[in-house]
Amino acid sequence: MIDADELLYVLDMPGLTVEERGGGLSVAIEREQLRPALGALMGHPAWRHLSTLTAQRRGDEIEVLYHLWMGQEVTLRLRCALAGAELPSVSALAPTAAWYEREVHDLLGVGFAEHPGLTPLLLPEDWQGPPPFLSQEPDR
Amino acid sequence: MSEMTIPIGPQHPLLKEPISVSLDVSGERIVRARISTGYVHRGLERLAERRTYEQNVVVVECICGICSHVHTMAYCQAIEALAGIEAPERAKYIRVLLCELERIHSHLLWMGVLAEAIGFTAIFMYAWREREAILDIMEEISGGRIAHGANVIGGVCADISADKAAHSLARLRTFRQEMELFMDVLERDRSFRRRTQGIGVLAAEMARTFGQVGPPARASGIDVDMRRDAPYAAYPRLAFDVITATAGDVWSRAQVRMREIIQSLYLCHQVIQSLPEGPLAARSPRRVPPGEVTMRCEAPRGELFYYVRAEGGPSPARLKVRTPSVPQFVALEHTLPGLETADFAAVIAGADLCIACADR
Repeated sequence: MIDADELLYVLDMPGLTVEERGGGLSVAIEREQLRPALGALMGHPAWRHLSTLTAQRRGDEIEVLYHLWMGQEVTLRLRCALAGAELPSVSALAPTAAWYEREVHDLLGVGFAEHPGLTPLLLPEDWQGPPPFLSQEPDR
Repeated sequence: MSEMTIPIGPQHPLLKEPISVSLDVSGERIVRARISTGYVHRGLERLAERRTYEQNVVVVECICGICSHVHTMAYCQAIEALAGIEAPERAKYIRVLLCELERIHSHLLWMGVLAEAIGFTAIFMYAWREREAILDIMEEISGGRIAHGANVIGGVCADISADKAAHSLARLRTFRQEMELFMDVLERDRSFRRRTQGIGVLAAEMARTFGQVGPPARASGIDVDMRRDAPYAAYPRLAFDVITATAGDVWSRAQVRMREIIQSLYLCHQVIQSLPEGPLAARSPRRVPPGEVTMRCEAPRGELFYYVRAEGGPSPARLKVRTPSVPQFVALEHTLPGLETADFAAVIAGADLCIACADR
């Protein structure tokens, strides 16, 4: 387990705030802080694994959550633009991230720089149209 | 020697669900493996945003047939956390009972699938025959062999009477004796060991790098189990061992799963013997207030992760599910190269992949 004070100490980045949220600890970071933050946490004894990424529309932005299991939930939160956004891939640090990033790319159209192969995961190869989670089509 | 590509799937006699594995082979040696999924993607997370919280219990139950109960349990526990309600004790115990029965039937299903894949059809037949006893008990409790419909937000809607409890205990006692056959096969059958020992090895360090969870992680020596590490339902009040092995091969994964069946039987015994009296469900919330929550449960294949965000309306603003098979795909692309093509069957069957779970 890791508590809020130790999380801030391990991350060692100015201006961060740790919230207790959703049953775990949550930290909002900027895109250029993502790889250093994940790298720092992966070196901590409480580190176990990256569970997954959640991407969701929040108004005029997309929020991407990195769900880490460290004996409790630790969530890194990033915001990016609704269209044309690109985040740094963390697959070099955590190989399973390659698949989670492909899903985020499929469903919300977020790009990932230096990804080993950003091919469709869930969508067919010939998918036409907006990313499904940004589609405004009415319920049938 | 020149390479050739062998496409396996999405439809193939070896595969129980559609998945595409493209093997580049040089002679009898696998050089490269590429796995493609998405053939049973049903958009259930997006659907969940357009259904009410109550309706979504049915939606998440349809993610997977084999582990439907743990899906609904994780979802219901997440909504209960958001709404600030707690399931009664009796409900928590019944949830654990069905979870462990589900774990037993899933592991036995897998044992049969592995045995069939390596030509040991007799064990496939015996495993699926014994599995019927577990499915019968689940049907007596919930009305369903696979899709139980037992969980509701706030508790359960299935109960177990004193008669059924005694009958179930007797059946589980007989079932436990039948498990001796499978333990014997694991320990002493030379053909089984020849096809599984030293095959598809994932060393502990690589298992950590690939974020493995569940029996594959434990078979590589990683001591992780959400029932102990993030306890939920009645697990804090029950005793069980987390089973690990060290070799990280297909045989170790079989060992871990078969020994987990014994632990699950012990958990079922404890639940039935100490089932508390009381209501089955707390009052369902009138609304789910804004907030977000994460929930982790130990499905038969490992860590099942749920994230729910609420904005105060009748439906979740976001439902995200990560099922335990996904890290396995990534690890398989690493462990398959170097193997002989004849070992592919044991490794892919030994992985206990659930494609419906992964695709949602």
